[in-house]
Amino acid sequence: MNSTLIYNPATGLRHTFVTENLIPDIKHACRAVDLPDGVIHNAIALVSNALDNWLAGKSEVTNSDIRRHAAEHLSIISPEAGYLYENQHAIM
Amino acid sequence: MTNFELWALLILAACIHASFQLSVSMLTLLHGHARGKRAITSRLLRLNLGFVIGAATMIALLLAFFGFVMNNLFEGVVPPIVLAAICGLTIGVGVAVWVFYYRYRSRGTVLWLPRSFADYLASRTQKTDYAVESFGLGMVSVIAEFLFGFAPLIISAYIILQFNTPTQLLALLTYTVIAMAPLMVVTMLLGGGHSLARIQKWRENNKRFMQFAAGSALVVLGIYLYVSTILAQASVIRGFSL
Repeated sequence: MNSTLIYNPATGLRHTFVTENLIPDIKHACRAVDLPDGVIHNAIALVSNALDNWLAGKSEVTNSDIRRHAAEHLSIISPEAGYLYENQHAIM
Repeated sequence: MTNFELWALLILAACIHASFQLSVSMLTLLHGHARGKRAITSRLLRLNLGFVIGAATMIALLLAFFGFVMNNLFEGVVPPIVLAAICGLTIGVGVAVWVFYYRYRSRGTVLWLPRSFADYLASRTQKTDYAVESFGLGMVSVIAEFLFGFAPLIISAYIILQFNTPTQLLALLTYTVIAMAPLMVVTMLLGGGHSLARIQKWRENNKRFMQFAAGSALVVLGIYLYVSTILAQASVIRGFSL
């Protein structure tokens, strides 16, 4: 866990970033494109590490920054899962 | 209007209804969530089919309802003032589709729906586990889009009343099948193993075209109906033939 704050521009609130909160959404996107559980496990590890490295030294980011960055790394394993993850809340 | 014109207008109205995207969005979400829960293929198919049948039932019921109300209220002959109002509403809905069917500057396929309502629909979709629930969800998806869907439905109800009784049933079925075509195609593609991401990407890439086409078609439909009914009647009264 790191101490980066997530800023929500809509509400003006800030909260601490927790990598574990991303896992259900990443898992969901991977399963929606039928990735096997082993690959999903690797994907979660890759995205978590990449995000931790990226956030190091940053004091404040937005949710969209995190989603965009996580999707970019998820796309390395499955571009379709990456796309679905990035657009999960933009379908309807 | 000739029979050919009536069928052409009915098919155009059904195509406009088919271009509305809320049901497709909900079906995409439903499929994604079911896949996320590792549902087996037969269950996925049952959920998707339940949704499509639910949406088709609601469209057929709404169309029959509008037809019934018009027939009983105006005894089969819709007054020109009511027709003019319907044409005006259709043109207005067409302009509304142009302006705010998709949210401006939003990524993905985010629709005009209030966010709280869209979140509620999304959470209901997520909780759907049985075919009966997805049937209900399909019905709700048509009602949720009623703000835009009523224009082609009401015009189709008027057109259907111009046919004789056995043809009315055929016209109602034709409208329902055409309006359901995108849902059926998406269900078939997903059932055939096509990726959800590819379908969603296609929708995102073509959303502005779909929006423009639906809005324009509604405006054209409203103007055509106005000219061919109201203006034609007015010309006959004044002794001109249009």
